Amino acid sequence: MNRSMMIQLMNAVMYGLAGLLLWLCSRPLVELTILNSKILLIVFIAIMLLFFYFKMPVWICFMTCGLLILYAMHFYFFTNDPLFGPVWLAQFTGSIVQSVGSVWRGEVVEASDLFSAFLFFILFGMILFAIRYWLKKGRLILFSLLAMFSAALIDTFTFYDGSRPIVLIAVVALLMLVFRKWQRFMVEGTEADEPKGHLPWLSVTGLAMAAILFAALLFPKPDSQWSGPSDYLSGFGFTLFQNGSFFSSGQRIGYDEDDSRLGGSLAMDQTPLFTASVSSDPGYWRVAHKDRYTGRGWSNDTPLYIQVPASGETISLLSLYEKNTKTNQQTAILRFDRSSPAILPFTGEPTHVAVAGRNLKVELSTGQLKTENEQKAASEHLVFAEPVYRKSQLRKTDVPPDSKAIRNRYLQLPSKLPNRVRALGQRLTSGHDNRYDQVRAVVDYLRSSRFRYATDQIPRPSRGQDYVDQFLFSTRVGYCDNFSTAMVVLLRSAGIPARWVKGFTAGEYQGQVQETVNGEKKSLNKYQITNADAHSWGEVYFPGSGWVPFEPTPSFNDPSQFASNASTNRGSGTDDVQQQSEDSASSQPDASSSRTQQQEKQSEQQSAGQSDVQQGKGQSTDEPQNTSHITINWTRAVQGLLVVFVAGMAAAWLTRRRWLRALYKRKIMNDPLGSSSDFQHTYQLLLRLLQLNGVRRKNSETLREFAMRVTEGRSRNALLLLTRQYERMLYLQDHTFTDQDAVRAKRQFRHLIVDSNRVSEHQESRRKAD
Amino acid sequence: MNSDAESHQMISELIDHVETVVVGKRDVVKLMTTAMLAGGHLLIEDVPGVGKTVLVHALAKSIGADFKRIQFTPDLLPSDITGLSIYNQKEAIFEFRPGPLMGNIVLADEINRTSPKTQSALLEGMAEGHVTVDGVTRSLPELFFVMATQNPIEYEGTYALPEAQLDRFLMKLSIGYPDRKDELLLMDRAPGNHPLRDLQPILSIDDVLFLRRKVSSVFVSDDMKNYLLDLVQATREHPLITLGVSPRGTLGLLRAVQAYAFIEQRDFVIPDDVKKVAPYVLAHRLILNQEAVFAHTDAFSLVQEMVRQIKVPVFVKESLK
Repeated sequence: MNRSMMIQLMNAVMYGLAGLLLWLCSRPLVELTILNSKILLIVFIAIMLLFFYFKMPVWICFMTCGLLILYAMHFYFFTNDPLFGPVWLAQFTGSIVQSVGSVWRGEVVEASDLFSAFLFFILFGMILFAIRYWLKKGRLILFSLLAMFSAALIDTFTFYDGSRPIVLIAVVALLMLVFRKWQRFMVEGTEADEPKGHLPWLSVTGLAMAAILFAALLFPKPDSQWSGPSDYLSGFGFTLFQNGSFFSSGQRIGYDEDDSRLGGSLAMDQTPLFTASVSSDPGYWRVAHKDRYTGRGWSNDTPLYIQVPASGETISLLSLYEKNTKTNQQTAILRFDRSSPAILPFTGEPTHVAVAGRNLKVELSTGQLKTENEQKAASEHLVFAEPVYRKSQLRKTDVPPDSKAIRNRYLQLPSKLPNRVRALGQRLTSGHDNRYDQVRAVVDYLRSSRFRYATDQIPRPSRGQDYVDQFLFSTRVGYCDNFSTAMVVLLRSAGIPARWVKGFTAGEYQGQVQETVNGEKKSLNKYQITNADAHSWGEVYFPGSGWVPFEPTPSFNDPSQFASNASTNRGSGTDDVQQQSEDSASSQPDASSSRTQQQEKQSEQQSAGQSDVQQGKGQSTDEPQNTSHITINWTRAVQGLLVVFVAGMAAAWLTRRRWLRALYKRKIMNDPLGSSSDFQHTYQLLLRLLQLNGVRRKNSETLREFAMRVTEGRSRNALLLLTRQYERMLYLQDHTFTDQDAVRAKRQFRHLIVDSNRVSEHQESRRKAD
Repeated sequence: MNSDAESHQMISELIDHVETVVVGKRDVVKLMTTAMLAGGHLLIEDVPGVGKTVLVHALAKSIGADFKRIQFTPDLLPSDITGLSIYNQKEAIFEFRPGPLMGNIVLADEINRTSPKTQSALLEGMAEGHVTVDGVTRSLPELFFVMATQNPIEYEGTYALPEAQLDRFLMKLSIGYPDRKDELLLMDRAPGNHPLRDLQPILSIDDVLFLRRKVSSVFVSDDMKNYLLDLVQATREHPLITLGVSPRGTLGLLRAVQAYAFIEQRDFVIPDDVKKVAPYVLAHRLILNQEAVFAHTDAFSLVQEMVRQIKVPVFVKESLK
């Protein structure tokens, strides 16, 4: 093999190692962020590095990078639209423009995922170009250090376990450095010119590395002495990677069709979705239920649609309640905001649904209402039956068994479900003879202090790990999806038919509004539902009563109305329904005030001074607090910026000699010297450049004295000639500056710069030698 | 007329010429020339025997002018230098016989050995360009350049020059001992063959007057004028100085700086000129107080110190761009 081929090959290896290193560093992103596609990142890195390796012109690289970013955007956010269509592009640019606008207005928190991802990919592209530069210049130490630093950072501040990858990263980085060194030998022939010299060299370094690694991995190591800076920092009020949607693995709270992969953290997102004006106090807004648990999430059968009659009657289509359930007739009007998905939520069992100008259909397998063409509706008029469950009825033991259809469908569990989950479900329910108490046992278990409610720092289940098993037995922390799925799976394990329902909580009370319903004016309670109100819960089948919802998530209230015998006996009517029985009160510890977790927090904050007022007025006191969703702590932001600024300034100050020298040199060399003022400017720059070498001109020192002091030999002559020219302008005020002068001055300047390079190199090498 | 190059040529020839006589004292020669071209008078103070007189003689002989020499002694009378009227018995009138002061270039040797009375006769001539003898005011020639030498006043038999008179000398120089190698050259020189004897004049009176006119047109920028004033002001405010530089001193400095710039072949003044010339022009005009004596310093080094501290104008003002 000849020499140039060898060099080519090694170059390729270098690019390969660089790509590998970058991939290792960016792999945590796949787990930590919404960019959960390994292939895409790998392809991105590979294509760009290939282009760099084949030394494509920079503009081609830039264009490719841009196209790749666009493709990634399509891949993540617009998969449903054709790739070569203008539709998604327009949507995409619109969204970006909007986000840029909101960032410009300071609403950083509300930047969309799309925008975050877009910025990430731009940054990623920039990193790739930086790597191209480093590879070209051979600045691999910087690259390796940055790679290891980033890995350590991710390991420290997130739940991503970087202890293994960081070793890998170190190995690859060291390999890269070794290769670089070897490449130098090959190209420059500095140390080992003979090819046979390379093999021992490589083998010695490789063996040394292997030995160290082996020792490092094998020998016992003490635990870290320091718990890591994140606890320390959070003591100061710095919370890292919390509530940032982009960094909260997987998903953002809100309504999403796809539940096949649950897990990861949630971010609170206060985007308003719709308002609901309801004649009663509504329960949860239901969008769909899911039946099949896969071990990772919920999936559905192929959809089966039934047209809703033009009259809007939906009786018996959904069949949520059976004959033993008492219902009250209620009405509701929903108005959807711009950012709402194409959903038609409902509460209770709708008997009459109308959307202006659209036909409706029902998806039977999920109980989901949709417009016929699945387009978004502007508003929805709803008449529904609000159920009141009689506890005595639910507690009855002499009920008929579940029908076969129910059992086939709602007892499904994946075969790979760990046995301990099944065992737990059976153990929890075993002490009770009726279904209601069995369900309560499971719900109370989940609502107990064993489990903690949190939306951030929620790990995703690892490959092959069951979602419920992970929650119940290892993490014990989660949010509604964790709790509701666990409840359904536990109940199914105990042979109780249950299903998983998703939708929204009641939302935030906004006061009373007057609406015209079926020609008559009514006073309705208006609620605002935002993305943060998205929720999931469980429903249990009770023969004779139908599907009864239960709330397994702590700090959320049970949506169902459970009536004791006494209240139902008094007869129907809204008074009756709104009154809470003592049973239900016991199951709803904080039933009186808060509706959502959000509000609960707020009321806690307020409770110190305002608890009386709040009890008197009900939820309406929350209103002023909720006008701004997320308040940025500006003082902290400013402090942070200040710290960054000071640090930047300090770095700039410490390195000023280096960059100022480069800057001045470039300016001096590039000055066209078109006029005397150009010349004066350049001369003054030259003075500054000379002063950077550590000799300052005293105020009382004349230019000639200074020139004599800082220069010698050829550069002294050059500087004296320039000084003479400058003196003419300064002291004679003779500003004639001919082209000839310019040519001469340019030559002198060049002499000086070249000599000063030599001088500073000399100084530096001497400093290093010292 | 290609006057600039020509006049620079003349000056460098003159300096080279004088230097053939006095080895290794180019700086002093330059400063002497500066005084001459600035139209001032020169005082050379140094210990006996370092070549004061020879130097002055050499410069004087290089100019084709009427050269007079006065050897000052304690018994010299004013009329001995200004000249006097003698009764001509044949014509029966008093006839004025001009004294040595009436020449173009006057060498006043050992000026501090004579009485203050005689010294002030010299003073009038130096200051006003004319002398009064027997009630008649007689003008001195247009080119009138006094070079005085004196021994340091600590030596016996000297009369310190009055302050007013010192102020009328543009510059005060000292020569100093020659370098070792220059002194070696001096020893090798054949006795009785002094180069001064054969020295021929190379500039005429008109040449010198022409050069003086050129000097007065050397450009001094406002920045430089301010720089000079800063320096002058500093002498007036200095804690060790009782009497600072007078406005006459300021004007003298300006002239000297212009002349020096011209000798350096420039038609404008730069700070380096000032730094070079200022101690020679200013030092002898200052009167130090007692503390300066205790501080073991002298006026010359004080001025040098001030020159080292005053800010030099280095940047072109925005309005000029």
